[in-house]
Amino acid sequence: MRPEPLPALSRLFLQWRPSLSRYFLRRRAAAWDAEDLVQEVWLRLQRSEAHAPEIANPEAYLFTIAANLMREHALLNQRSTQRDTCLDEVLERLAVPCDADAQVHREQRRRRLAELMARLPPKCRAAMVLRYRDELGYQDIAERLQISSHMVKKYIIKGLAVCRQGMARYA
Amino acid sequence: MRESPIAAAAAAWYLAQREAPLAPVQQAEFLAWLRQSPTHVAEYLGIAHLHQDLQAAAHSQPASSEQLCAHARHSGAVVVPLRPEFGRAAPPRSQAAPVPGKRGRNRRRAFGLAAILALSAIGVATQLAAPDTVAATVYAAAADAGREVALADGSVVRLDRGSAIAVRYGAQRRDIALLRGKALFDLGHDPARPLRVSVGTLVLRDIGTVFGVDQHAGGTRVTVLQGRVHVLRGAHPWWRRSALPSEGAQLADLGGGQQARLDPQGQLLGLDAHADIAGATAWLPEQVGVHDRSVGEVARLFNAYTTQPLRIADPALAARRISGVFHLRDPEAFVAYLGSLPNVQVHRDAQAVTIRSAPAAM
Repeated sequence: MRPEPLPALSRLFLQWRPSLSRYFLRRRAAAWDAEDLVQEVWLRLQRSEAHAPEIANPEAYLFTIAANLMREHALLNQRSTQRDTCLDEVLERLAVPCDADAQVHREQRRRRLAELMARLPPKCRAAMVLRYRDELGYQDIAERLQISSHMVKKYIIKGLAVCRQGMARYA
Repeated sequence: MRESPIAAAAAAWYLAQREAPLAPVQQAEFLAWLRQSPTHVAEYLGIAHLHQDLQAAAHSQPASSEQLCAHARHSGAVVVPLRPEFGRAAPPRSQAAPVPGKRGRNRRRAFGLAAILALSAIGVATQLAAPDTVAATVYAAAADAGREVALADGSVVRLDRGSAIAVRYGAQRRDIALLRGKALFDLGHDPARPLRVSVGTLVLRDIGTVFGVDQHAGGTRVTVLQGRVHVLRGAHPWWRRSALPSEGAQLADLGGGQQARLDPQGQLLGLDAHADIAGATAWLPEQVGVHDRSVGEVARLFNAYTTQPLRIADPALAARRISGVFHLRDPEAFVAYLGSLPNVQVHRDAQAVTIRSAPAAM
């Protein structure tokens, strides 16, 4: 057991506590942001109804809306927390030893995804790994598993859907 | 885990976008799908997000492609992902259907069923590692033939073609899971070791009964022929995870002749006080050829079809050996045959047809 926290450190902690709680509040708010974001993307898709035929590539359109919204959101956030940005930056570095917070999250996500993949039913799992690790085409996978390439696609869709559900909390 | 239809649709659209340029009609369909609900948008973005990490996750899978393919090709008979630690162990050991051997001796002595059953049983039994060290065994019927499984406690489970169960009997409890298809359970009562039957997200608790379970994509149908069954909500499938089946809220309490229909999520869709028994047992064989089995055993075969079971109250008669072909949907012929035997009396009431020894003629 350690004797007592160093006085300097506790002073530091007291001094920075308001920022710390703001930091955690913001972390928690991220989940809500994601939901709001999706809702907003969907609303904008609805509003685009009038000139639907002009949308030749709905996927690109979707990603553009999402990216624009995220940019707007970041601008808003920056303005509201401008006063203590410097301090927050320092805190962020203290809390997360790696240089990029996102990198840590990605590692966690990948570990979780690997676990989910390992738990898929055998055919589904084989199709997923052969596709995404060994980069084989549907036809090659079909021959190796002795099933039709149509079934290979079905297994991959199933695998993606199961993983997506398992990852919902990590997104 | 069964995948959600929305997540699957999102995955299908995502793959379609990556594979080839979509025709304008399909693009319009995709846009319409996105506009249907914010959930569709969320799932699509979720799949796109997930897709970025897929390669990295796939690269960390330890099994070689040969192992994966071999395991996948052998998974036809038993579809359930048993214990997923692949890198550590070889694929689940497969063995031939249980043949009366060292372990079967007691069973055979007790019921004499095993010999006939082993002949008709074509399938795979796989040993599973179970959390409480009692191994679970999977019994699967072949795609083109039904199967009868006689268990160590005297319970008999009849499987429809292509159906499978996992069985784990411990010192404290007995657990059976219907993995797929249809099964008729004729279960022995043992108050010291309660028996639970798991079906998807449901747990059925039985008190010495005959009941059928029919699992299909649209849900589950539980039909009680005799006795009583409690239908409970379960938490998770024990044969996949290291846990014992747990019981949740009671959904239905079924008596003889009653049927409950439940959707895949375990929501009660309907209760039928007078179930269509003929419909629920339609998959069972019409007739059975019996060679040298006891009257008691044959009566039990008939009891899989009716809410008014045959009870052989005379132990000497129940032990009598008979052979022949019996039409299982016509118990009256069998009753008439039994009635024709000397010193036998047939008694009928709403619950059962009881065959007693008649008081010897003075």
